[in-house]
Amino acid sequence: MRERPLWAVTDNQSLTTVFTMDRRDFLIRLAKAGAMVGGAAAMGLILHDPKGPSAPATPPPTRLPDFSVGQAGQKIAIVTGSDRIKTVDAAIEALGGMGSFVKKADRVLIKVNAAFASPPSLCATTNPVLLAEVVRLCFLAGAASVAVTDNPINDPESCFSLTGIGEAAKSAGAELILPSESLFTNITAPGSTLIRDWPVFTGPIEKATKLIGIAPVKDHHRSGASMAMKNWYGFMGGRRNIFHQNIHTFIKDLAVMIKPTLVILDGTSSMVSNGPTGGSISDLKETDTMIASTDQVAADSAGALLLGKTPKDLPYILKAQQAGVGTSDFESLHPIRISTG
Amino acid sequence: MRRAGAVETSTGILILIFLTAIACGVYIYGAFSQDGPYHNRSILSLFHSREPSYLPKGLGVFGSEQTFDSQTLSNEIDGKADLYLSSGFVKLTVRRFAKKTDPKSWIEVSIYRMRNPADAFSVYSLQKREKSTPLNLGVSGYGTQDAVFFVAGPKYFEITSSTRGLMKDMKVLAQNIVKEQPRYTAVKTDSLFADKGLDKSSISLHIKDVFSFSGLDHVYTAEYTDRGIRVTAFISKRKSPQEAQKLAAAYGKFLVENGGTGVAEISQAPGSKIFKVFDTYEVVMHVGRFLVGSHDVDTLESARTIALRVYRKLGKTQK
Repeated sequence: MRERPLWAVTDNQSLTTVFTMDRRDFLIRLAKAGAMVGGAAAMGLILHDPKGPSAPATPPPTRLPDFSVGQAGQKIAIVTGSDRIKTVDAAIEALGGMGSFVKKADRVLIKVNAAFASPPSLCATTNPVLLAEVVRLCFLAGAASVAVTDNPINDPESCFSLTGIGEAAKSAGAELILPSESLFTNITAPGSTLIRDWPVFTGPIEKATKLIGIAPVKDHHRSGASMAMKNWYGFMGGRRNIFHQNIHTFIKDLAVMIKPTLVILDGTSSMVSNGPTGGSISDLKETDTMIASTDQVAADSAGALLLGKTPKDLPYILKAQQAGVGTSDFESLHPIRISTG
Repeated sequence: MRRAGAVETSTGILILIFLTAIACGVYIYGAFSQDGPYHNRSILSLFHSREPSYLPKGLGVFGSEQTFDSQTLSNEIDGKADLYLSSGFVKLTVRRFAKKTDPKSWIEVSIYRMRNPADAFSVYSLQKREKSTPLNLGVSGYGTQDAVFFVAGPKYFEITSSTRGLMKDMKVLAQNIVKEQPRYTAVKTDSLFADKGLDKSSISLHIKDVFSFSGLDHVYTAEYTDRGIRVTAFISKRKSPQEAQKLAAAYGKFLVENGGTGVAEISQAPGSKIFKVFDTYEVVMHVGRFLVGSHDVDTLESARTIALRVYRKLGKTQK
């Protein structure tokens, strides 16, 4: 029997099925294999990085728009009363009316606290009645549009629905902006050692010409309190809970980064224990106070008193003051005090 | 050109199915992962929407079950997570139920699985609401106007509601849940403290870094009233009398390092010391395996009286 190469025909029928290959097939396959090897080698050569891998470059610091109204100056109004509509109306009026802040054609963004999927009765989130009234005031002042947003801790749809914020915003004619991946941009906050190449909910911010923060006054297990400055936490994306390790510096950095037109601090029912989630109306105290200010540090300093604390008890307030965000001595701004009865 | 055999074809199909499954897994994880920046929903929740056996009539499942571990707990309760994470947290399960006749009336049940019954009692006691009434559940529990809180073995339960009119349903729910729990020996609390002047509802268990001292852990505190003054008494059971004695000395040293000065001793309690820390008084003593004292008291006399009362009770227990 003649010797044949392995790929050639054999006399055995079953082996013929498996190994049959003629010279032409062989040459075609050899050419293809050669082309693949050559192609892979060429791609390797093209993609070869002689410097090797290096750490990703941190994007340059990004300055978010300054929404403050220069002429408004540093002002604070502290209004007492249990009716949120009356107290917020009085507070805004005391600061010169919404028209001092919102002009015709302004696109207003309202940053609420919708962190948890909890009912309005627990006061863990922005009160929907208060929100609706502020939206109304914005439109009355001539705003072209009003948008309401937050990047909640819990599922966004549940949060906006169960807190009543979604319904209140829509009923008042505001647009509700829920977080989605395309609305986040990685930014590095100027001067911040913590907010570096971090996803920030910039989509709604970029479209706005005015920014108003509305936050409830709450106890906070980690930071001592959650008020106007802590409210900006909801602009952060990613695994932001890692910032809890350095919470006071982080809140200060947020306050440096976000320059609002106005902040409204709702201390009608303050969450004095078990914050920031609470869980029962037993965690609330009727403190019957509405604070509105162009100075977020002053607003939080006044709010601290509602929790039985002083600004000195909340390191982030003093850090923000040192960073030039505002003053913890809110009395120095000569607060306009009103009682709505 | 030869054709592929049946074995090769089957193997190829299996590999393709396997790769497709991996791709689907990656997609689903990305879409629903709690770690993602834009989503907080657990993929597991999609498969847990059955009605639990403890659900009272008239209530139905409202939303899917969510579970959180130590990595994701902050996604649910934000800054309060630290309280649990420092006290032996294992897992949180959250379920929401609503009135079948009125979906706006809903109840949320949060079940915190802790490492052991003491850890569960700790997180329960440290969040005790002042305006509350005890509930007869067979376990430590209380109700407020709109919520029920209780602890059963290594689990701490919070039942909260969207409106005030759901208390009856919440109580039935709590009773049904308790019935389903395995029997555990209750954490002993009030038997440690002397009865006179004691507010039994105030007893709390602090797991670590108690009174800001890193060396002090597993401390029971209770509130007393003495001549109109609120006094916090504390007890910590140690492994041996020697350890209790050493801890008393270490805590005293800590107080001095932080601005305290030793102002007196209590003759009836050997080794005891009273410290003045700024404007308040602190008594530190030890009896047998117990570290005992009073904390942050406005007057020296009340600090001494209550600490001694607790000391004597424990002294009798030791005998």
